Amino acid sequence: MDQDELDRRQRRFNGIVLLILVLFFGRLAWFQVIAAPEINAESLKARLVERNIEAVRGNIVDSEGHILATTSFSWDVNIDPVNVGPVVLTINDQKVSFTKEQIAEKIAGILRIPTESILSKMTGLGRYANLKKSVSASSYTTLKNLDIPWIYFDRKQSRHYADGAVAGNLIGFVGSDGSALAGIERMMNSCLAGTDGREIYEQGADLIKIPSSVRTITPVRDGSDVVLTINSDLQYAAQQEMAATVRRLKADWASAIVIEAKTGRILAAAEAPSVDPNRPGAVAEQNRHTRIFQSAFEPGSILKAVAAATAIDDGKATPLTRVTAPDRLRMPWGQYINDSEIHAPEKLTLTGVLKVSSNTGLVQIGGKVDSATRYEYMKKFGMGSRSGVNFEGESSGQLSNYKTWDKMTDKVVMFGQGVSLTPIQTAGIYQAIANKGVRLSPILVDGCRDKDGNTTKTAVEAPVRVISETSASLTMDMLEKVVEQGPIGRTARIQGYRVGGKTGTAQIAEGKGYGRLHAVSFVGIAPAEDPQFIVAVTAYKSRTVSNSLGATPGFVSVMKQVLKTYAVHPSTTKSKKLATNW
Amino acid sequence: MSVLRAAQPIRPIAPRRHLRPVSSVPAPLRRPRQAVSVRSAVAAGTSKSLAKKVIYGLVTVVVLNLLINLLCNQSIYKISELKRESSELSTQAQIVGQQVDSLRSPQNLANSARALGMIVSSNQVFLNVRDGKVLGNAVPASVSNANSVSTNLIANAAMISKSDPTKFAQAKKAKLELPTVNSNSTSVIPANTGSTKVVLPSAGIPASPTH
Repeated sequence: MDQDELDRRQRRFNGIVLLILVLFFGRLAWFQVIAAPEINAESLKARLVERNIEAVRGNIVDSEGHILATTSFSWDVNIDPVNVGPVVLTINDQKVSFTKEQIAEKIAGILRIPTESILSKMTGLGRYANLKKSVSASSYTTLKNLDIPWIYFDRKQSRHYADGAVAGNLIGFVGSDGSALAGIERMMNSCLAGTDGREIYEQGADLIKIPSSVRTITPVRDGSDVVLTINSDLQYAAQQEMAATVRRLKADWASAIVIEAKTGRILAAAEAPSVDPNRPGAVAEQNRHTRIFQSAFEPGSILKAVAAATAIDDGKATPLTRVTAPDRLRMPWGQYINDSEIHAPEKLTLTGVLKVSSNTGLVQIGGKVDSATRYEYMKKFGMGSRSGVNFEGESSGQLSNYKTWDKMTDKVVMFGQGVSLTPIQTAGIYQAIANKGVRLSPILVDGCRDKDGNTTKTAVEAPVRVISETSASLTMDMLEKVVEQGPIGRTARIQGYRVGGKTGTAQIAEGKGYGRLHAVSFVGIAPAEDPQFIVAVTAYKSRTVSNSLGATPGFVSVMKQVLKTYAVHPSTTKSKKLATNW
Repeated sequence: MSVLRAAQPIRPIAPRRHLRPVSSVPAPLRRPRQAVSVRSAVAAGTSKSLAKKVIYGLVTVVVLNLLINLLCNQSIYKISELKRESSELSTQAQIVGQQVDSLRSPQNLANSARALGMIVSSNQVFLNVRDGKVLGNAVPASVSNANSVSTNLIANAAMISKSDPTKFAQAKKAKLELPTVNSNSTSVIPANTGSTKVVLPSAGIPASPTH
């Protein structure tokens, strides 16, 4: 072989190598340059994951920061039926084999559901069967530690109410899907809910999130906390007392409201029966509401304080204005107004009228004020309009225009018939009297506090001057005599303190007339020399005691607790001397 | 590429080198190509050592890159593992937290107090610590003047743990066995205060010397 041949072969070989190189290079260029964007996009698509980040719902806390409602987690327990089979578990370092029936029995014990229902769900070729929803953290941990390969869990948010039914009727509850259904949960949903976030990230083949790849589309914003004015200890004590009252009176329900006179803050709003928000289904439907704000009924004699204060403020009467009160008073048009008891005509002052709660005496003095003025005063006392709380489903009560009152209604409204009030409206009337004649918008929700601790205070309606300071003080003096000397009122006395208040035994409208059962109530203010707290107690449809004697023990107990909680010192002064008879 | 070219300075076609030694004298570069000058040989030697440096540099960069990637990947798995652990711990915290909530719920406290034979006093009595005055009627609480309700009547489905009243007696006993204040002393300060020291365990929070 000569040199030329060698050179030729060498050149051919070089040419082939070059060709291969060119081909390789071309292919490389194809992948790297021309097809690159497409391939990259496909690869990224396989790695990219977009997911929702659920916002954590905020807490509901009381005035002391005690958490009444919070978000915790629960788990849905699911199985993968197609993969169900025997399981080998390690017990005391020894491998023990279990049949699927034995495992089902184990699961049944942990979840407290029948074994049969688990076994029936284990069969089939599906990939999903739910064994139980919303399982607690401890059951979940126990089950998870068994390490059963065909069992899996879905974590979800759930509401936890550590104190159960304490303030339950106020807090309300959420549905199993987390939607707010009642009470503060619903009313303050926009504060509590927060907004879900969204992010995109890349994940490796083994589902590991690649940290540098995370891209936030929408940042998650957790819910804020709702701060209540409620003192949960006081709320508990009041609820205990109301539960006992319902038992004692065999009543449909009972409520107690505690309001701070000078601020309008609601310190307790207790009801019995009360819903436990952890398990709303455990009580009857009618007991899941908030009657304090939602139930309006005729208040009865409790309203006499309004008629008396109006007459004084309008200059038509003083606490010593005299009247002769028979047990039955004939109206010019022939109808009668009766007192609750048969008695000989009594010579009473206005103070005396309140003391014995005389209907006939009151309509004579109260009637000196014309209907239009009385109506205006009633409106200023908050009747006929919702309280400033604007609670979920709150009732405004009923106060029809005085022009629509017939002759009889014009009289009976003075002692609380023909109008209806919610318990919060009734308490509001006495708050105005206690606060030198200025009615404040009651506050239940102090505000909405975000995670940085900034509180957005709840908007409060402007205070309303209802009666003059002097009129309020005179009314207070009269109310004190009710508790000092009144036949029922004196059962509301609290040793060491000056207390003012008024009893109420209201008939309950049924059909066209009134039913046999009563709504018995007592609203009291203490200490009378410097009014600080209002406690309003109502028991609806009492079956054992048919007058306010049913409500005063509850009042005394709750008021004592209030005075103790807020360390109110015993009174050092005596009440004014006011004649009740003449 | 330029490194390879620098190593072959006698190739007839002189490349435009990307890397070349910086010379203060520009003239030699423009000399005729046929002769190998001393200066270009020196330049080639410098280029060789530079090439070495560059190769070492590149290798170091690649190795470092590899190492960092490796560490990064390990961290990713560590992060993932720690996240799982954190989630497990928060589940544990939830369980324990709810037990604490149960134990301190008013329902449990009311029942425990009752089991201990405690009665709610119905009298408000205040002691003014400044002047020692007692405000109110200081009468011991008794069943007859106690507030009417003492048993818990309020439902709580969240109460997963309850206090065990049988353990209260033991707790009381244990407390009695603790050293007591010398009753002969007029001072209210315990006699052994001087010998008590704050114990600082390695774990953190100092143990209180209070009995």
